[in-house]
Amino acid sequence: MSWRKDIILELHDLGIGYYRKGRPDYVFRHITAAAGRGEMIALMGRNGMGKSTLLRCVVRMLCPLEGQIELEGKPLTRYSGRQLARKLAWVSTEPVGVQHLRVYDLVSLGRYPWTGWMGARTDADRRAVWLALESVGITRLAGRDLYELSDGERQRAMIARALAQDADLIVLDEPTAFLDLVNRYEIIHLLLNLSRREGKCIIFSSHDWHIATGEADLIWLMDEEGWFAGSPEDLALANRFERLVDSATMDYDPRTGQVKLVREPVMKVAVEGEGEAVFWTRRAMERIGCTLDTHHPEITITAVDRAEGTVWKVRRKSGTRQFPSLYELVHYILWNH
Amino acid sequence: MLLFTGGLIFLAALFLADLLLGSVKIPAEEVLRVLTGGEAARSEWKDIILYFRIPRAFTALLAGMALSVSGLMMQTVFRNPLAGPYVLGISAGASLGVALLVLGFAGVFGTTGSGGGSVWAMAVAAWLGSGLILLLIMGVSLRVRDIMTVLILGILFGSVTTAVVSILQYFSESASLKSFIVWTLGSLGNVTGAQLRVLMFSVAGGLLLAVFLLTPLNVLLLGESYARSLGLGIRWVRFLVFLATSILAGSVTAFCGPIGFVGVAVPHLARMVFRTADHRILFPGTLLAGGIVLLFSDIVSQLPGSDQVLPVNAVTALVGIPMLIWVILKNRKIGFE
Repeated sequence: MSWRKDIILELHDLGIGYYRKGRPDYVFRHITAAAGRGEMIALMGRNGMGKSTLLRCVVRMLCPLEGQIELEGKPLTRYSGRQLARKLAWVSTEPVGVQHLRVYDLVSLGRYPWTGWMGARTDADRRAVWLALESVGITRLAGRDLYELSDGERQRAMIARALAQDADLIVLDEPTAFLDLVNRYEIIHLLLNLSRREGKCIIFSSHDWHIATGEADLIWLMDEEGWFAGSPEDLALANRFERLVDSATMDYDPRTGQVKLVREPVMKVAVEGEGEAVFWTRRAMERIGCTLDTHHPEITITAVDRAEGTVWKVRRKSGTRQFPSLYELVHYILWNH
Repeated sequence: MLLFTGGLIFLAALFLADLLLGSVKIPAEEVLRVLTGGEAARSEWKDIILYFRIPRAFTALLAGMALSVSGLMMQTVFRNPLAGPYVLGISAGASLGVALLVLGFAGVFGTTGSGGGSVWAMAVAAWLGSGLILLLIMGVSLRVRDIMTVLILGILFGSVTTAVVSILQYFSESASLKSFIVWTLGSLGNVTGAQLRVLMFSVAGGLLLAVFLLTPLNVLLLGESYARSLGLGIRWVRFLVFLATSILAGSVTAFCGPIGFVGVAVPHLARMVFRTADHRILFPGTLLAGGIVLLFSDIVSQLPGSDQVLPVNAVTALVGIPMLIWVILKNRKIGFE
């Protein structure tokens, strides 16, 4: 990685795990990676592969069993607690269950590495707090109680707290867990903006592999084959996604990058017609496990646009039927084939 | 601001009421005349006011403040709403120290009672006793992560201490036994001029130390892992909080006996009234509320209008427990999750 000047974090042949009865018990070994400013990195892997353990090593909550972590070219162990807090911020999944904690006060605690026991009281501190609130888009919530916020708003507040810390590297453990789809995308988008606009290096773990592979610059992958770091597309080309979703109930389509539950084949169908209705009819058929086959279909479905809305005509050897919605069509296919 | 002003006025009113009321009936204008430097109609009234009621009111004020602030700090450090100097057995530790001094060593060294020298001896014994229990709990809390376990162990330590004290009681002679029993009932009235000065300096020292801990305590609200990621030296903060608590609760217990429930209930009262988790507001708020509650308890304990006096410990329990129940019922949960 010597061609890059923007590297902030380097992992050198890291082995992570725990000591059990004084002996190292490795969860994962041979992790080598580098993270640059302005990059958003998604750490992925199945449950139990050691994602959280790795992140906790990166933020020095745990010690790696072997290898070395360097932050800005200096071993992590050589930083004092305060020095480290000025360079590295951490957002965990641990809930902050305190009553009557205002969002502004929460975020201003991020200034602690800069202020010490006096707390945030200078104008510069206040500016940093408001800037952080603005970056995550929750200035209007500043006076609210943390308890009153929705999960998405609370996650934003926690990220604002990390931003107020003014660290170049922000590490987040599953920032999108417990969030709905819109919030998940918004949080990831927010993180991406922070990396692009403010040049932060963002490392987050995620199970949301759709979002992660769609948005991250770099994927750090932990699976049974070992460590892999590369762009999402590098991963796809190296056929590493298949293993990530390798299970009896999941099926990965390497052409589309889609993942589906494996279903028992229902029947072969052909879908005809025009416009959006055809697309969604095909989706519905795939969802219930029908195979799309235009040559030898067992039934043929035609989506017909009428003035009163779309209707679906089904042709099979026994005759023709018509359905006013996909729901009824699907019900018919599932229970009458 | 309005709350603080109102609280201060209420506190001043209670302080005055505490001077006006007592088991000896003194007309209000006589009290005021003595307070403004005049002579009372009867010389013993002046003595009662100057050498009994004023020190007593000051003691109530100091003890209420000291116990409440240590309760506030302990609740944050242990992240437990039921933590406090009394619940964790610190007062039991202090009573062990005093018991060893009064019951154990009195016979050996031939010193008993309340001579000038034993002011310091009592204070040091109580400090050592409470410090011992706190160190034990600190040691446990560093090894055991589950805070509930620490709490249970704290209660068990308290029980063991009480058992040792009861053995000491069993083998001691009735004269020293009685002075110890009277000490355990709690009293604000036995603090003479010299003792009051010692108490005042200790409480001032403990409170000064607490001032430096307010922002670190705010950071601790986020939980241990966040606090560490912000560069907070948790062991240091814990140590200093325990030291401050030991000074505050230890010296109050040494001079006034174990006064229960104030330390647990008042911080919750302050949280409810000031609707904040910020220790920089809760600290003065707790000082005010602590002074108010113990002054009020003292007035009640003197049963105005009769010449009987109740042990203050009984009154604080009768005042503090309904307060706790009210807080629990009103909030469902108190302070922490």
